[in-house]
Amino acid sequence: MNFELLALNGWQLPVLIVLSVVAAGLVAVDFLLVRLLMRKPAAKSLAKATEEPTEETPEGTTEQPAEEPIEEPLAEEIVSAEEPIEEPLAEEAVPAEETIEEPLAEENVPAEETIEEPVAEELVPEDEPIEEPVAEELVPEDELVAEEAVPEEEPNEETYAAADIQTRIEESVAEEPISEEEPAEGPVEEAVSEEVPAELHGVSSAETVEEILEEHGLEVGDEISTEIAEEIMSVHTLHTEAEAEVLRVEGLYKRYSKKADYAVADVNFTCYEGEIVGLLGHNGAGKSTTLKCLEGMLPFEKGKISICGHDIKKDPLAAKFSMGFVTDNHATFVKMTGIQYLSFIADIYKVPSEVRKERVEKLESVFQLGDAINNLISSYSHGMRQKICMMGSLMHMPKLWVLDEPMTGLDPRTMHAVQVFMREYAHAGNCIIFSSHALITVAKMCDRVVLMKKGQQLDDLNIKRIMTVDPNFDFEEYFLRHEGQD
Amino acid sequence: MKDKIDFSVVGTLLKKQLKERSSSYRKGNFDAVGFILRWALVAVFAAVFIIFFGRFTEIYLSVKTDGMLDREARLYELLTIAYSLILAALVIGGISQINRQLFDADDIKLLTGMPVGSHTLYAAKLISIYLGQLAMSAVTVLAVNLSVAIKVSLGGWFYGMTVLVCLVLPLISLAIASILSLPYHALKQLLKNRFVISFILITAIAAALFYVYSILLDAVKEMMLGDNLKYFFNEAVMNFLGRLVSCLYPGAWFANFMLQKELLVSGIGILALTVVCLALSMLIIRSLMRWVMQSRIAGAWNFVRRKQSVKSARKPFIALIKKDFLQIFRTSSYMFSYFSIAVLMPLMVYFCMSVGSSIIIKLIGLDCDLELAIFLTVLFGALTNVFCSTNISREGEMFYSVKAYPVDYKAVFFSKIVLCMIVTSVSQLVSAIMLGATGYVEWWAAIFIFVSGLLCSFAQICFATRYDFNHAKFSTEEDGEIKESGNTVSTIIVLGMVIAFLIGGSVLLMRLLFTLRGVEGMGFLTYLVVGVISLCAALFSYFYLVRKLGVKYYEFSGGGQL
Repeated sequence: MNFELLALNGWQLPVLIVLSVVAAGLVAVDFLLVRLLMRKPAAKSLAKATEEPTEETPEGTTEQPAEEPIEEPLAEEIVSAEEPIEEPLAEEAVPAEETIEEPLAEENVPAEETIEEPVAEELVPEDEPIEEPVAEELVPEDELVAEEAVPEEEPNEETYAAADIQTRIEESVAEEPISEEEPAEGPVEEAVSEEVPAELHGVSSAETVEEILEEHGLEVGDEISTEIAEEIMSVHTLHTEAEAEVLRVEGLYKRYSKKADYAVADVNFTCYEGEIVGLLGHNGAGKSTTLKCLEGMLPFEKGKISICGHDIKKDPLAAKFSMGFVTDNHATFVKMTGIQYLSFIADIYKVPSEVRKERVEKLESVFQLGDAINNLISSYSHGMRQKICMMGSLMHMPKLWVLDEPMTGLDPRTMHAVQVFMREYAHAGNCIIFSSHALITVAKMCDRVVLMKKGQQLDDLNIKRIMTVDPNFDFEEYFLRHEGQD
Repeated sequence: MKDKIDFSVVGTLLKKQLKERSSSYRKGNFDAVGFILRWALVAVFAAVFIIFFGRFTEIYLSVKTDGMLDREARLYELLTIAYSLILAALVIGGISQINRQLFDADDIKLLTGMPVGSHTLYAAKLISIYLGQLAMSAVTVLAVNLSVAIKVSLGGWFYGMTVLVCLVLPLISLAIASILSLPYHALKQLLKNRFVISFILITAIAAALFYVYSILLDAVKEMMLGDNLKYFFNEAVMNFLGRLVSCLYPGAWFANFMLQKELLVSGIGILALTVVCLALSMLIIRSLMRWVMQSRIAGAWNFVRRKQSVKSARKPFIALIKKDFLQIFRTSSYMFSYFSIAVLMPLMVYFCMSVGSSIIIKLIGLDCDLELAIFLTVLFGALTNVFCSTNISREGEMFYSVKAYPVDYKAVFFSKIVLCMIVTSVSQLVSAIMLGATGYVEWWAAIFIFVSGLLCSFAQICFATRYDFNHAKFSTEEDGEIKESGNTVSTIIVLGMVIAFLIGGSVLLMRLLFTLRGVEGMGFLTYLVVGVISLCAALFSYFYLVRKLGVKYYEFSGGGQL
């Protein structure tokens, strides 16, 4: 090449140097500007979540950084945990330092209805009708709490704040056992009986199932009419901090375009630890849209969704860490092998290396992919994809497990294994929410059912209760009749 | 009920195929930029081919053997070779068409469940494949025959028989292609999950094709710059060509037939071959289809991989990069369009550099290797990075799942950009080393080319990623693979080429102007202009990428899947 043409001489060299310095300065200024822009409010919450990385326990939950004072998150978590009872009363009025103490004090208060449901679930086999009124079988709450809150695995030293708080609450409950003899007193009871609006807690006018049955001259095990069933199902359980709130959907509105009607309008429900909640409705009722909104896949216009106390909009990373999901289309990275996909998910959810193998083995024992786990997902059948999606969603053992049409495409053996697993998983103190069209499965599996129609929430039913009272209750007939109503 | 061919159903099936093919021209799907680009490219290729093949014909017909000029013998050789090459191209195209119509098509599985007879389905498939071959044959045979007819005065027979050749050649190619399609399919299945071997094989084939392309390019240069090509056809070469042509059947028959030589022998040869080939292709495609129908119902071949265990923890950012890498590497079309092209980019730069440099020196008498090297590096870099225009669309519906992962949006986007930058860095680095090592540019200039090339690539990758995010279109294929390029891809190709021509063209023009005006010592301006434009492009694209990205990421509900 011609070197002479490129030779720098005379005034050219200083000009080049000056221009280079100016250019470098501009680059530096631009980078600073970019950094500043990135800190603007739009990205602030996301950026904050990244700057304060959350860490993960074997249960897939997260922990606040060690340098942060524990009091602050504790206060926040407790406030969120007591929301079902406290919110209308004192959410804004009570200072944070007071709210820390209150729930601890509240642990002593036995809430009749809270205890009632686990008794029905755990002590009475499904096929045996309850001979005596449920209330008579009340056991001290600490026993239930202790049983339900036992984690499946040894806790890691990195513990998720919400889980930590929950454990503390449970420990405090265990230390101070609640018995039937101790009367329910204090602000919580007052709040429930006097100031809390009935619809918030699903307390019917008749108040308890026993009263409803008594009112109609029935006993547990008797065949009951749809009207009475409806009345019984609307009696909701009161949840104390022992059964912390896992998911709260408040006034959710979502539409796909500005001109379109709302695909989901004014949906409100709350899910608690240990619960299996079903989302039921016809095609296009808004079930998948609701689930996609709470998974953070879709934006929504109005409303609030919080998972383990973390707002999905304001604190998305923390909320997503507490959740595992399975989509209705079973979308996965088909160019990965099954095991690579699980490793990938484990990396994303920061599952520690030491628990991964054990967890995969445990999930494999339920879902039984066999050698196919080493094959590319693209070679999987529909059901196998469904299985690998479920396995992936459980790699971090989320507090909330969200499933969209989970039973579709599964073989009967796996379906049964999944159902058993779901029960055990919920029993271990986690919460499961799933959408389905399989009414029998829903009736068999769920504690509660949120009924949806044309994007609106029709009802929030306590199906477990009716199935306990009348194991032969035809939920399918009930649902179809309910669906027919306009 | 006897399984007869129902021609009304055949018509319906053909209409269905036509509608499927024309779906990309419908409102909403129409890729206007791509359409213009494709047709412009076809027109340019056709024009270039006709011009250069005409010129080549002229040179070849004037070649003397034993001191004698025999234009008819040369024309026979030329047509024989041309028809043989066309037949080879048709066979390759035919293999691809048969594979697409029989092995990769999803409709067979659906249609076998419908009251569509297997003979009807077979007839529809055969006609469809033949029509595809006919189109290809018409374009190539017409281009050759017209180029020849411009240079040599040939009678009406030649023009009339051109139509016959167009119709008959696909029948022969179809038969050969149908024989080869099953081994090809088996090879494809064998390599399907052997990604490294596939990568090496695909890249090697592409490199060989580029080598052939460079030879052609060199020949074009020779044709443009003088009559060196004439001297290439010496006695030894001509003897070899004579021997070759004598065994190039059926090309030789067609050439003879067109030139009205040995009409009876060549006519019977062509007729016999056509009948045999027609029967053979019908028989083979029929049996292939039966096998395909059975195998598609029964399910695909499986490939058992060696046992693996769950890997130890990685950072989510690294996991995302690995995920993207696997997705590209394990999809053969993606692997070719990105990794293979990235590997071949230095070769392309080198081939074009060697041709371009000598052309410019001979035409203008100017040494502007640096400017040309910059132009070629930016141009081929831009063409390599076009793949980034599917960074988001490629994810398909999994993009929503990624959205639901506890990963910051910046990690999602920058993992893709980092992977693209790694690929482009390697390719730019090898190009720069090659330019430096072959002496086209000095080492420090090679470093400058590498840095400016990286800046341009960064600009293109950032811009393409954000543009794709804003206009994401997810594939409806079962595995989410994008099989058709959309508006985004075409736009990025055009923009990449505009930037390359802007940078390369401006510095080449500057060098030319200064040299013509006798202004010395302005070489530094090349560095300045290229450096500033690259830097500005990189900064602009970065801003374009990150602007309101967090908000848009939250609000994202595009892709056409919901």
